[in-house]
Amino acid sequence: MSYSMFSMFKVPPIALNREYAVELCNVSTTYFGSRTPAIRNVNLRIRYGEFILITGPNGAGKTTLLETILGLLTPSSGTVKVFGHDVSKRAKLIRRYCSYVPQDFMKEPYEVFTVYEVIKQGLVTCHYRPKDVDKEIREVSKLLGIEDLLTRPIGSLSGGQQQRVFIARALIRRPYLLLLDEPFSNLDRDSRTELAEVLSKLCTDSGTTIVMVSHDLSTIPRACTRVVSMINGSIVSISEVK
Amino acid sequence: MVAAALTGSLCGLSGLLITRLGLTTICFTIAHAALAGATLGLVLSIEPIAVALVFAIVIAALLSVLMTMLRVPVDLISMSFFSLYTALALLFIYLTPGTAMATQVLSTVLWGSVLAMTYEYITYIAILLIAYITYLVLYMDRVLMVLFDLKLAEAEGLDTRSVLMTLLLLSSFVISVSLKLTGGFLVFTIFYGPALATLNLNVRSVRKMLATSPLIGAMCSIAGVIVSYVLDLPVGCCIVLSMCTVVAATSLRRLIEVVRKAAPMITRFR
Repeated sequence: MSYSMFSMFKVPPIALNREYAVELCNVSTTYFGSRTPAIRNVNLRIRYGEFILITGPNGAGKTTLLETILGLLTPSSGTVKVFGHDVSKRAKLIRRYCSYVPQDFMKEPYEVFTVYEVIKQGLVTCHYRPKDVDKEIREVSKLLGIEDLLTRPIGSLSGGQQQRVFIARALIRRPYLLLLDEPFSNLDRDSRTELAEVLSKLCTDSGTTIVMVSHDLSTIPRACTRVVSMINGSIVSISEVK
Repeated sequence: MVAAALTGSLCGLSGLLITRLGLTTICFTIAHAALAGATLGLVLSIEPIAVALVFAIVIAALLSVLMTMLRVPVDLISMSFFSLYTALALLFIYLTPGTAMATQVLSTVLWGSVLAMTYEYITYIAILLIAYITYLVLYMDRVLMVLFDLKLAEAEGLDTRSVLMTLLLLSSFVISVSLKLTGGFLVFTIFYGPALATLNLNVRSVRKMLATSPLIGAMCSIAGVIVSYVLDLPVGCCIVLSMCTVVAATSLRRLIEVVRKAAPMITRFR
């Protein structure tokens, strides 16, 4: 199944910088009440349609970097641009063209939202044709192997299944920029390989820019072009993937 | 009885949404701000509910701004304001002209009264209920998105602040109009009781929850009014007692359910 099936959505009406998807210039982010910045003087340019992997030990600032790119965290210094737009000024608009899969996604067992409802919610801030929603949800859930879980409450699912649901929700938005925070953390080896292939296809076929955070380098998607290593909030190396 | 049904359903609906959003302490503070406003109204001889509404809206707006800007625990800010407004309420009661605890108007604000329910007042409550339901129908998808995961909703470009602020403002209205029926000290049970009973009933759909909670609120309020009429007791207390009975019954049902599910595991463990 090709990912071009999501082309039914309207093209978004903002001018996108087609050269660089993300531009970070001397970015430092400090959490409220903390003296030490979680990320410091980060300079990084991610090309449009590039697949980049950010790696590093716990506390390296990987999640902070993702949340700073989305404008969920305000940098204490430096500028963040997504598709050429300053995130500090147009965060809400930019986020509509991005998808984010957080690390801390697990829902309590009593959570009653069904998988279908959770995936559908991903479309609320997108342009879409209501009559095609059901078909789209079924296709994306099939792609991630969760088509049998659509009527189940998300709280009743395992960690790995919930992770797939959140990835499905991110994919159905047909994002221009996809930010994934440890998407493989709860998946078994086969599922990781499958997901890596889905993401690679999304990047190569649809030109989606993907920024994936992972501390596990055992599964690097084939479309991944660069690996960024972070330690103590700073980028220590950027290596090309052959 | 119509007023009780409308107020009960409004509180049930609002309480469920607020509980799901984890803003319980904020509404606790809003209720005390409303009480302080109502008692100030008595001191100044102005319509207490109007002043209560102003106090409730101001504190709701202030708390929602502080919550997003200061990035400190919501509960801490709320409880600080809660103490302030409780102190103000007690101060205004002390300053109320006449023998404070004996005045009819003051007892209405504190404990609630059916006699305070005029046709005009019932119309206001009905308009509020219609406005609340209209908002939910129009923006249901956004509200559900916020109810499910606030951070994810924000990450996907939703204006979560406006949704939260609207729900808090609507709750301020609900709390203020409920003062006359249940009184300032008893409004919490009718606000949160239906939400707790709904959770105890193990309703497995958010939309069903949004229907069940107002229904429980309305039924308990009607039951409270009937008991109050038959036994000639204060209406606010009777509504709260009927609500507590339902909460206790549903909690017992849930407890039995949990024990039954756990029993095979215990047997296997032994």
